[in-house]
Amino acid sequence: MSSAATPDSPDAYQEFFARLEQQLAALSHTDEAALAIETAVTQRFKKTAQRQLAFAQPNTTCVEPIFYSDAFASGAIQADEDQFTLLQGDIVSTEAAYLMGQRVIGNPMFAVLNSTCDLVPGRRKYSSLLRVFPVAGDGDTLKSTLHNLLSFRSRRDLYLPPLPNEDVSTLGYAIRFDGVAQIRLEDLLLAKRLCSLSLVGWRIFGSFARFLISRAGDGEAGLRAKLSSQSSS
Amino acid sequence: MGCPNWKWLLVEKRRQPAVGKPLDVPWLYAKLRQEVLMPSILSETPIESEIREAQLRPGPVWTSFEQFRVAGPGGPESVVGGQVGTLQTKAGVFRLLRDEDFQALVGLASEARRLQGGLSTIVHAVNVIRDHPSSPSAVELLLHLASVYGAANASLPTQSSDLAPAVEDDEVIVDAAELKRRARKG
Repeated sequence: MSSAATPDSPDAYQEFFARLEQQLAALSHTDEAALAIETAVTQRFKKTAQRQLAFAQPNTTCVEPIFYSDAFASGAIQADEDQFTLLQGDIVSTEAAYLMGQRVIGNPMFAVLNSTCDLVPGRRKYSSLLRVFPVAGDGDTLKSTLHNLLSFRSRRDLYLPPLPNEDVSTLGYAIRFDGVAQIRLEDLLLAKRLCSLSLVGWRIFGSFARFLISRAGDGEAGLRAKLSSQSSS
Repeated sequence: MGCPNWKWLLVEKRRQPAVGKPLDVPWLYAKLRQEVLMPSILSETPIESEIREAQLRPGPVWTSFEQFRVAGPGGPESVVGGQVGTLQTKAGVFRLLRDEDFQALVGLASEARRLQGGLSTIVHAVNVIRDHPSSPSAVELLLHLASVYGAANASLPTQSSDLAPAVEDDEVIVDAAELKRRARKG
């Protein structure tokens, strides 16, 4: 029979959690990934048009929807791995998603925010989506929109090029990282898939998603450290 | 009308029944139906218009899979928006419809499931009013519920107003066809 757990000394606990915080400091709240995108793109391509042309190259960030059957047939996925219907970052169209309790209609587009492993049927009840808007406007407003999107300076909107094989001509789209829509997973799995993300597209999306969920303001770590030292003294 | 005129109804409700008298439930029901429930849940939301749009009409019928196969791509293409094609096979009857109609149906089913819960809550609130007819807070609860569950609308894209202007010597492609053409050359 195992003995009942006995508490360590308060100092030992404090030391444990202080060390854990130090281990996580460089991992949990960092914007390095989002900064890397901005730096890489703006240093390599000076003008917006150059960036537009780079991202408009076929299959750079957006690809045709990736299907499990094709992935399995090509050997990209093994039989013992989960069968997928959707992948994280897929751009879909559905009228069964809700934002602030209101259903969004009119063939809206969304990007799937959940990790792919959460999208296996039955594994989760709900999923999260980000709204996707086509780039629109006239004159200087349109130029400003494109300039801003393709500078990757704002973390609110992520630029997507025109989707592969879409009927309507467009200058691209913006995934809005402001306001998360919700949908039942079973409804999401019936959504129309418009495109998937390539490997680099998925990395870029993940960098923005991480920035949305956890980033640290300049003084936040110091603020919390100070408050916890005050409460423990 | 964008949202139910429930504030007006509250004022009217206070005027109608004299203080201390039981609430005029038929009057309240009629007003609710007229001012809140009907406009918001049944008329004002996209639901009714969607029901109209989602009314599916019979489309082409294929009486065997062979007939469907021989028709080639022209078969499914002949199912236009709002129509349901029917494919009869030995394994059973299959329906064929455009994706936009399918998405509208899935959306409606989702909304119906949500409203099932909302209507049940509203019915409970009505029962509270029946038991406590002179309670203004019970009436306000009902009106609030009706407005909450009645509101549903589309979220439309908006142009950001805090955009930094493009720098002067920047070059921006503002024509989708040009972007496509120039990207192909790369």
